[in-house]
Amino acid sequence: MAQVSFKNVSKIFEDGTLAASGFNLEIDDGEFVVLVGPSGCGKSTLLRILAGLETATKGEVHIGDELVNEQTPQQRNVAMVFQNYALYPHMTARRNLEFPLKMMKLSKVDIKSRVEATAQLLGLDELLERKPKQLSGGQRQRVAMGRAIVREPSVFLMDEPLSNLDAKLRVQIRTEIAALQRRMKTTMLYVTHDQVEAMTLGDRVAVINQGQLQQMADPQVLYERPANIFVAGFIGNPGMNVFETELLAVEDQRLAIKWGEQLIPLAKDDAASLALEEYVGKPLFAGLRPDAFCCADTSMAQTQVAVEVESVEALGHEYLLYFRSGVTALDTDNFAGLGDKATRPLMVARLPGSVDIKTNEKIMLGLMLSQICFFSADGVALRV
Amino acid sequence: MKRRSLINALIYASLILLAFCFIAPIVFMLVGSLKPDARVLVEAGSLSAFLPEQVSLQNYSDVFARVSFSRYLFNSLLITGSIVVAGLVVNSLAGYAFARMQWRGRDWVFAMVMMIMIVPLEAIAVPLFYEVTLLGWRDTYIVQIIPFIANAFSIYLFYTFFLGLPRELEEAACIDGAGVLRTFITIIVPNAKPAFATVTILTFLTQWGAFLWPLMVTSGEAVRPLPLGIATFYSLPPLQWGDIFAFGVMMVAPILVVFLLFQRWFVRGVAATGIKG
Amino acid sequence: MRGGLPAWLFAAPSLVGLLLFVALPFVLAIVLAFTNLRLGSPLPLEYVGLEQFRRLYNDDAFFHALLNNATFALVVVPLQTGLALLLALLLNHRLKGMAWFRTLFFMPVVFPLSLVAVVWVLIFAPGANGMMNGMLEVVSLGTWTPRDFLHDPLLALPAIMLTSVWQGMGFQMVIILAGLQAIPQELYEAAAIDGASRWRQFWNVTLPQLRNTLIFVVLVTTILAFRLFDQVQIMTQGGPHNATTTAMYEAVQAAFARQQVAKGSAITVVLFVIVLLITWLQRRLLRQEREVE
Repeated sequence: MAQVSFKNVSKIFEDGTLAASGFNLEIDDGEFVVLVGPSGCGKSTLLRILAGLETATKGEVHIGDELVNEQTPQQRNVAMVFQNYALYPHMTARRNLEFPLKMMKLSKVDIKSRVEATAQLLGLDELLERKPKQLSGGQRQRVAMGRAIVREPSVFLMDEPLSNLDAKLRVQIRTEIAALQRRMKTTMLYVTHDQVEAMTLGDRVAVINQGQLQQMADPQVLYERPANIFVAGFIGNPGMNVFETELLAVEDQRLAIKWGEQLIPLAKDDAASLALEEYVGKPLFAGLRPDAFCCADTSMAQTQVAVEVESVEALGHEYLLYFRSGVTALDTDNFAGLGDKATRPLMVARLPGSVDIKTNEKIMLGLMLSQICFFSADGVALRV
Repeated sequence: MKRRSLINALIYASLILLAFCFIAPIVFMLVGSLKPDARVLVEAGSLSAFLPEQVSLQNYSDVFARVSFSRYLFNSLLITGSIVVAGLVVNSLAGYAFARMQWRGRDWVFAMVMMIMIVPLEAIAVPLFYEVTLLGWRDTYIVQIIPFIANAFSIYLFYTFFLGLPRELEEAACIDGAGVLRTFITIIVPNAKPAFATVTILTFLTQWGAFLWPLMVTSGEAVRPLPLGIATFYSLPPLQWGDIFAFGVMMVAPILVVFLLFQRWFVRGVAATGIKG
Repeated sequence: MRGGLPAWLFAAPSLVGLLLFVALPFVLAIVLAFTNLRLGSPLPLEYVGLEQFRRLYNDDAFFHALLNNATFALVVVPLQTGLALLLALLLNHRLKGMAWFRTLFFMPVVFPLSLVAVVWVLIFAPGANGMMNGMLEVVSLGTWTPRDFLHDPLLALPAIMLTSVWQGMGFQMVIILAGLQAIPQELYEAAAIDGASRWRQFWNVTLPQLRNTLIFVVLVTTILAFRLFDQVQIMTQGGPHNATTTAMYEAVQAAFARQQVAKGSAITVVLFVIVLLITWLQRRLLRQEREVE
């Protein structure tokens, strides 16, 4: 049982790749934290630095009260589940589970009882005498988890442990991992690139990009109040539509944003709660979740915009509408500031039910402006 | 489907024909070793070269009577066995150090080993001979063993094989608390059977057949291995082919056993190590 | 990840061995080649510059030796590689008994060259009783006149070549087979869907994919051709009239029959330069391939 902290951790590989820079993170004892980010963002490297498989170029890593930078993985008492499980191919499941205990020089009796307890916990009893090759993907995954659990470590580390499983099994084992962690109350650090996994598993989720922490919050906050344009685009599927716009003061002390030629007035309280007055007349970014759109004729629609449909993806109970309109969306993964003309993805709306809309058709969409987010010119969310 | 089976029949036919060409000298030797000496040469040009009329083990007992075969065999086993065992240990360790450990000067030293790999024994035989003469090692076992334990090609084979093993295995072992040496012995070695088999077979083949070097550094039969034995035997009058063939059969038997034992791993090893380029 | 002292300890035993028994004698070879060292000679050891190489240049036997090595390489390399490729292609069909055939064709490789040489001396025995003579007589329907292969200046080298091909082919076959089996099946399926015949698949899929393997095999066989010794020593002793002498045979003769260590060293230096050139050529071929990719 231990809390974990990264203090100003940087990692530069020998070939000059910057995997982490000035990374800070505090994890409470018994907390389940998910590190999520696009591939190559440095999340696995951070996990490996915590495990002791990589050394930080700069900064401090603490487990419990101890500075562990110079400790071996064993001294840190961490356990890790690898993406490809890394089960020892020449050993049976039992021998795999025994291995870390033998390294701890436990007595034969202790080893036996701990292995059997773990096997029972994970439903592995029947499989103990099999070698990894004779196990299915899901079973291997379970043995790998068992090898981590059996040590009773102070921190669990998981590096994309579900990515080699098929979709159905992934959901099932995801639930099991969550239940297991709640029962064992061991600090857990879990790395994934899959934001659904991140949102469903983590007490708190740390979004990472280019080696830096973008935002650390519980899943709901991440979704509703992203700290910056990257998080806004990364969380949610599809992510937030972010576009460049301008704030204008209109009559009645209200503010409005430009949507192409159209002016869209904001509700009075929206403007007030965001204290947006100082941005009047300046360019900034606004963001709308796909769910902030609705059919033009419903009562939720506070205003309407004209769009040209590019394509429709039917998902059964809902559909995604990709469209062009007076504003164009920003590539949130590669945010390059104001006036960026590099890539222009389509805007996307998520609408309930099913419709018969054709490509290039021009329709009106309703907007629910209460969900609008604003970001400054350098991409940081505006808040009170 | 008819076309398919015709093609298969053609494949089998050509394989059998070629197999006959390749196996003929071996059968010739085996059969000859069971015939009376005089008949070997007489029947060599006819089909009866491959068919013994009366089988006798007389030639085999003659070999033991005429030369100290058991001495040659012991020498060969001792020399080859020592080189193989010691070579597996030191070369696999070195291959691992190059493949998976970070140390200063590693790439530079590895480049040197690669250079050494292309130096054939023949190209250094004469000065090496001069060197061991200065060391006073001539006519010993060690002169036939020590220089051949470290082998650049074996290091290279282990190196490429270890590179192909998933790195996570060692990382898992490291997290589980195993040190470098223990990881190597308990995790890496058991998963490197094809590499060990390949190196074993290749080393065994080379050393069991070693001829030039023992010829240079030994004189008496006390420490000489089998290949020199057969050359001596061949030049020893009277020239009795049945005896020579019996000698040959006994000489090749141990290596055939080694090969058949490790063959399954060897074929996999050739595929998994760098041999195929 | 880990390193420093343990890594050096891991590498040290074999590095010391290579240093003492390959690197050192190699340096010694270069040094001795520029001296007049002759074991048991009363003359003092002295630096003679390029004298040894100048003598080699004018040495008729050495000229023959290099010529024989080159002829051997030019005949054996294509023959052996071609045969190995053919056999590997045949064995690569997934049919019953292929593992058996593979073992069978590999069998000669486990035979020590000294033994192979002795057996083939008898196969090439002179007179109508010799196996090769007998076989050729049957094949030629009785028109073949028996020859003494190993004492015939025209036939001695080919006889050694045949012996060597028989012994060495199986090893190449296994390597090529491994290379063949590493070619992804999808490539053939894609080619078949594109309408390529078997023949075209061979030229457009198999050979390009096998290129690196083949270059490796050719390189190794070529180097072996320049190291040729055992068969010559046992079957012909370089004769008749230098028809089968080789560089290595000359080196050993010089160093041991005549105690001329310096001359032997000079020959080995020449040999090494040749091997180096062949290797360099292979590297270039491989690099070009990578650039094309």
